[in-house]
Amino acid sequence: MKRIAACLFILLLLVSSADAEGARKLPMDLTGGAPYKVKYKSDLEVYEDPTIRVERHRVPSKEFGCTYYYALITVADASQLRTLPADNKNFLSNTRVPVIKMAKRVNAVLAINGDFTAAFSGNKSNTFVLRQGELYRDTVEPGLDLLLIDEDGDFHIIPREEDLEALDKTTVDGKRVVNAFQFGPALIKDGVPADDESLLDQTHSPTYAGPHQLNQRMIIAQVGPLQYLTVCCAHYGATLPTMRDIVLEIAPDCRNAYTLDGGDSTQMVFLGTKINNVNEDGGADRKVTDIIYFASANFEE
Amino acid sequence: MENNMTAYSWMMAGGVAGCAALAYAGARKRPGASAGKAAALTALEILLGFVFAALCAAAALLLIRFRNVEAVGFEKFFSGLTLEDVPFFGAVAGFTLGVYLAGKCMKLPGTDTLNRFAAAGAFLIAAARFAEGFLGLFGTGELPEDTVLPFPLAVAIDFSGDGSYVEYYLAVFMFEGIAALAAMVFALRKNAEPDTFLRTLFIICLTQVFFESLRTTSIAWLFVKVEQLACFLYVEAVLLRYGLKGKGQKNRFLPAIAGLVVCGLIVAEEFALDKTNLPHWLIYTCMAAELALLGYLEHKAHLRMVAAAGEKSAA
Repeated sequence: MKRIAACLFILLLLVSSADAEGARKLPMDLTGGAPYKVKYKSDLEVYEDPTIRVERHRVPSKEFGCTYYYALITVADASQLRTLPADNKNFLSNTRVPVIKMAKRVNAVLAINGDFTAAFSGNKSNTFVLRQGELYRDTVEPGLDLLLIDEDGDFHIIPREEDLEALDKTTVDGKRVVNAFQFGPALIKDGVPADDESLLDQTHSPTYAGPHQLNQRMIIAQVGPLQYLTVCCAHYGATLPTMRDIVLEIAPDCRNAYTLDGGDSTQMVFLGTKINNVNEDGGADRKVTDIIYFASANFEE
Repeated sequence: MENNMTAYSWMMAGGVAGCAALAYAGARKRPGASAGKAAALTALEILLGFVFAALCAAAALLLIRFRNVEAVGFEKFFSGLTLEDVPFFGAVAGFTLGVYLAGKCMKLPGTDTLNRFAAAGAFLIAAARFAEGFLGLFGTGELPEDTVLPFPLAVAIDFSGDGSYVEYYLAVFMFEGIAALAAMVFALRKNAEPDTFLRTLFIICLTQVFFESLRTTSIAWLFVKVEQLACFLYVEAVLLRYGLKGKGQKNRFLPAIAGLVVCGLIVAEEFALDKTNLPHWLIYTCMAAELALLGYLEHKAHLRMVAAAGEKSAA
């Protein structure tokens, strides 16, 4: 009996250690995630393994006057929400490559364009850049909302009305900030949707973002603990209030939603394939400076 | 995909040595130049060249990134720079100034000093471009996905560290280096004729307008690639000079006007590269043809200017 119990105990230990080895926290650096186990197919709408679930949709919407694409992502650990610069080294580099290439380098299950960190013009010249736990540029553009993502993967939107310069942007609520973005504006903050007037105010958007115009836009949102949403619209675009409404349509309980770079930079890549604007005349994939991606942490063979 | 700074440094050291040898050879050809004087001039050219290259590159960067400098402060801004932040046109302008001043310090005519230095300068640029091959993605250009081309057309960059994931990029640094070597051969053949420096740099800038468009790493301001714009401004200035100097000649401003038209076309082509589905090979073929036309017009304008100068001296 003792022998059986001992064998069972050892077996249990082996199983638990194998599990711990298979799914592990990803390191806080610029390396990628675990290779995904399936190949992209046009009818594949869900990718799932023990550490990540990504569900993607394409919605032609008469109500919003555009076709939009979105993905709902659930990860097991906050480290699976990651960022990467185009040159794999420096988020302030002048290097630009399409999202799809960066996504493939790091085995991104889902990747989207970031906030174009290395745009050194207009009111994007001095945006705050903190990525994968490292501070790259400690300046702020006072007119733009900040999105901070902490070590638990929670979103915190710091509105432009606050003293962004004086504020500690490396910790929030006692937690370490691992990724920060400054593009904006925020569409929803702490469950409260922004009003039209605020969204349409050009001074709250980066130069040339044209909040009132029909532009392509990429939105990232947190819909629950370790649950995220990315949304973009097709090439004929949407205004910022429309994007806010789309987010609310998909996730009425969304806590925080934030605008990232848009226009031709808008690229959503699922399992190494670009999935937005596939059948439309959207032009070549624009080269961008950075991506946000969700990776698997399931290293089991 | 780490930078190989050791190999880069060796390549640059070789470039400086080759540049010094060519500069010395050029200086020795000057009538009455002793070995000691030629060596002193060469040393001064290299020294002042690098000093002013650094100063002018920094000044150019200050202009481009003024808002950053304002925000973070002078010291912090410059301490955070990497090699890719160095504006090529600023460095070349500074080096040119340094060589000119070296000639003046030695009580030699500045333009003649530059003409004799042209081949050496082109060699240094070639070496600097080839050395970019050791800086990862820096000197490369985008290739369509899954395109595999051999070196020297393309380079394979290993992003996995173990060869399991490589991306192929166009070896733009090789093309730029070869163009600079071609400019060097041109300068050597011209043997310090008047305008040799001006025309050698014209070849380098004309080709750089094209190559800059291919690069994945480029200093940009909004959608404008700063190096491309600066190179084009130089090209246009040279073409305009032919017009201004060719008083009495028919169609003397034709090259300069063609330059402006080509500038407009290149803006449209850059827009097409970013915004349309037109095949890139077609756009780049058009761009190359337009720039070749400008090269041809410059050559013709130069011949006309030389002929006119000959007639004038004969009269």
